[in-house]
Amino acid sequence: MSALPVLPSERTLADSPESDQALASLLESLLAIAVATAISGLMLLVAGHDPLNAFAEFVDRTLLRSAGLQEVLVHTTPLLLAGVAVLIAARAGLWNIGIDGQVLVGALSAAVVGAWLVGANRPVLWVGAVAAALIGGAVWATVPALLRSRWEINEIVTTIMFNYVAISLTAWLVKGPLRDQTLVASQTPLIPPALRFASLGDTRVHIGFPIAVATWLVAAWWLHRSVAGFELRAVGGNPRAARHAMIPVIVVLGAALIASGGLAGLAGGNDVLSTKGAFQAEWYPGYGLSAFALVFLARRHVLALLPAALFLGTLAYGADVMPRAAGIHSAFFSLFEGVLLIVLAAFRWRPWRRLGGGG
Amino acid sequence: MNVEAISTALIAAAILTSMPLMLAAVGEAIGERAGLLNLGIEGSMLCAAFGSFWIALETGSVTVGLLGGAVVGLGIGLVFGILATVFHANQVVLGLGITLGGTGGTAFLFREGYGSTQPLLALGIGRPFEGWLDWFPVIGPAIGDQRWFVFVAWIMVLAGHFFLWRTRAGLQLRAAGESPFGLESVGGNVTAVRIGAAAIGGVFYGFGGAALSVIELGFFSPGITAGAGFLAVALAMLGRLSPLRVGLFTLAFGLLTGFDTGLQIAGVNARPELLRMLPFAGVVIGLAILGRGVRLPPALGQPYGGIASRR
Amino acid sequence: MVDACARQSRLDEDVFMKAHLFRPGRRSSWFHALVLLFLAAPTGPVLAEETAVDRVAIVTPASRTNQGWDQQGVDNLVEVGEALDIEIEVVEDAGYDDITPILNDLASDGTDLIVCHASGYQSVCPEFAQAMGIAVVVVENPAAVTDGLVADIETQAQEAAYLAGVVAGLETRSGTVAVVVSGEPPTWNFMTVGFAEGLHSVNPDATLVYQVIGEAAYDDAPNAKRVTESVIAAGADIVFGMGDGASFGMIQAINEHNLDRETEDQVWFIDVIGDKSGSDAGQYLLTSVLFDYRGAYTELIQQLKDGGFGEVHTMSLENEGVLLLDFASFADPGTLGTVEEVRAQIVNGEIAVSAIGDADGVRARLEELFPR
Repeated sequence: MSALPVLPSERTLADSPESDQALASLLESLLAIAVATAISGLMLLVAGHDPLNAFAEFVDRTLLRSAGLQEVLVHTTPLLLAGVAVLIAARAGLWNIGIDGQVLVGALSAAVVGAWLVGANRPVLWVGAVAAALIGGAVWATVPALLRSRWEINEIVTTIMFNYVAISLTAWLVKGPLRDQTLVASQTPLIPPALRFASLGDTRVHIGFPIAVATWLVAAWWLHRSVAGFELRAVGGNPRAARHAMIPVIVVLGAALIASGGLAGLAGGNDVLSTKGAFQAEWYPGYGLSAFALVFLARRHVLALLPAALFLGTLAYGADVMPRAAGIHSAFFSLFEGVLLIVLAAFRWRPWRRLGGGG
Repeated sequence: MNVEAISTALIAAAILTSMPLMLAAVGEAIGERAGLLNLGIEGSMLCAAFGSFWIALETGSVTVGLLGGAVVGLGIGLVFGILATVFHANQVVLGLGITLGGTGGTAFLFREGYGSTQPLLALGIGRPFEGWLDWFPVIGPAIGDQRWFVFVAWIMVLAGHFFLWRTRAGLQLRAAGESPFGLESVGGNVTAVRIGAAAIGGVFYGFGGAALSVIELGFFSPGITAGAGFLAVALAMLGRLSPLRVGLFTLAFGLLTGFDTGLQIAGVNARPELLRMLPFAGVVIGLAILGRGVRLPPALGQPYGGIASRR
Repeated sequence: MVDACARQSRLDEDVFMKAHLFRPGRRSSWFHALVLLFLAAPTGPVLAEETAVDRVAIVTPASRTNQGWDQQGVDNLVEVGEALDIEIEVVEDAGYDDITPILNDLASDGTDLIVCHASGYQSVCPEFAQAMGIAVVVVENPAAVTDGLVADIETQAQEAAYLAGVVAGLETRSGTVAVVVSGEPPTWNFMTVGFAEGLHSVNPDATLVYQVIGEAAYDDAPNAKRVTESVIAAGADIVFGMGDGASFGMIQAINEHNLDRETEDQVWFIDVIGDKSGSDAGQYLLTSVLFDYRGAYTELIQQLKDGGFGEVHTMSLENEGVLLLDFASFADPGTLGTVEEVRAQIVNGEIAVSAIGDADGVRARLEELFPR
């Protein structure tokens, strides 16, 4: 028992399960998925669909076909990056709800720099555009980061506001100064397919996926094996204690949110450099909420992010194909993710853990 | 071009469009005062909007529709309150889940129920004080010619303010957020108070969502709240969780939103996208100026473990 | 014909007008399709070149519910499919994310032609066509046209919008007309300029109020309603609204304003793309700039079968790709005649309507026509 009384109310989103409870966490996540599936299936039934058939179609199209699996990986890539972004902030005790805005700014930055580098060779273009995406997203998180770290102004609100500003700002830029004048509809100049992220073999999966996985591994290592990562987790776990330990809390908080923004920007850059090729004003992928679902499905444990991202990537692709396959509107998948989040949130009350004497 | 008429119209529009947002923001503020951070308002408002629209279509009555929406909001508020207190659910996750679920669910139900049609409600919502304030230039008719529910909404906000600051129940509610242990030690039941706060908040944003669809617009379409739920959280904080202040800030926000329309009508050739950033940038600037050192209830967002949990 | 009408009740007038179908040449484009079918049928098996076209798909970014851009494309293609006995697959709400998985999915089901019904798909669809060898149709991207692979549809809606402007100029009682748009995509921009020019030609002293609701506010009904209320307060009594889903906000603002008001004080609406006249939303619909894709769709499906696919198909007043919907009964009968004359003048080239698709160009032209 520690000397300081640790009230349950002080354990916030920064805490993670102890390693010996990793198995329990996994089972909880699976149970949450099962419960959410059951509830959503019920809603399908009420709406007049056949849930069993829908489930079978879903599994068939996403996981049992080669094309499906490829698309799942393609969809997983930006989600994994966004998930890492949310987690980095979360472990510092911050809620980065501004992912969507940071994605937009990062994507636009990558599109502009990528189009500018079209004359160069591919690796140069990739490096330049990826750097632009990271910087763009980071810049976009800077003001909320400053306001939060220095003046304790709640980052939830500021990052949400910056989402809206991002929508307007990127729209204005892409319809005005950054527009491709040769095309009638507004978008940045196209990065030709030959210069985008290379495909892995003959598949639809591109190098964005290994980049995302590498980022995730680096983040995991950094979080748990580096001094800075330790400081970040300390700040998230108990800011007062961290201050006593001479950790520069203000710097850590600011840096965490900025880094989080950069990673979100990278997710946006990934899309531009792989599937889109340019930035369009109407594009709004909305990774933010899914990223939160991802992180909480992973029970805030960094190593569980990849399987969680794969699951949500499957859902995302499912939303693309199920309208055709089973006549189920793609909004249903948002509904499912929402129910899943609610179930996961409710699982905070873990009677089985209390009985086991832990927690 | 009649400048006076246009100004009146812009102000009237600001009052009307800020009304659902105001109700949502005040509902959130009441919940936050008790220590509940609810990011699910967007989804809840959509559910209330859809519910009230559907009921109004079926029954032909705007009032029944409004009440239906409030009931939906109440229900969701209770779910949130109970899960957040009894089940110690993580409030932010819960809220985001409600938002995602509500957004997806209403879109799904709307498509299932109405297919490719877009039903519209017949309008004709009464304006009880029409013409009464015409003697006061510009602002008079803007206020006086409003629909009856706008006045109800403002009365609700005043009632909320009175409740929080002048009643014993309100004091308990604020204590639940300021110092839950303190409340418990004098015999209060934090869980019950918080659930009550969530319920009251639910009624507020339930009415907000219902008013948006039934009073302001006359129809429902997926995503019709357009982020109002998140704006409500921002405005609640900007107004320091005080219903009256929140109401006023929301009104200012509504005026800023209409600003770009006014400029466009006046022929100012500014890009609308840049003008559209104004209200949101305004909130951030407002927070930066006014929000420094603001004390949010210390127990905001934290589940309450009961006095026994103090080791 | 119109004199006999005047003695009847308003309802009869309405029915009469619709029955006589003031849709210049509507039957003829239909007729064209059938003629093509007749001609194609016997020669089909004889031509060695012919490709079988059994499945055509259409991908739209939003839902049919908006009774606008998405609905019109879908409805028109479905009609053509029924006439030509082709299976039509509809994928709506595809959004602006990467639609390649959807396209791949369609390809794997043996689709012969995919209609990419959004200017936002202008890049992804030609790329898909090149990669997979499946024919696609794009809109507003003539540069992407490729023999046998990519066809393009150009909606020269500015000509029909010109006619709408003439109608507005003749029917306005207050002298102020508003154009309210939910964004500035090329499709809307072409129409804004055409409308302004038409208005200017019959009513150069009118005041034109141009309002952009937001950047991509196609479904932003709340703001559409607010903006429309503002332009009504600015004195506009005719609103030319381009909004897709947002149009319902505009219409509700007008419906509300018109409650308990006499005809002289009413505000009327000119819609685009679809036909809302039969619904709740059509109460004060003066007319609409209709898009009729059937001719273009029929033509390019035929070209896919017989060879020659990969052209730019222009929908114009002349080929009835764009046209004006029947006027409402409350419109001035004299306007019909004037519009017919103007239409003829456009078709034979006497009147040239500017084709301006970018937002800055629109504002410049509006400033020229109606300086503030």
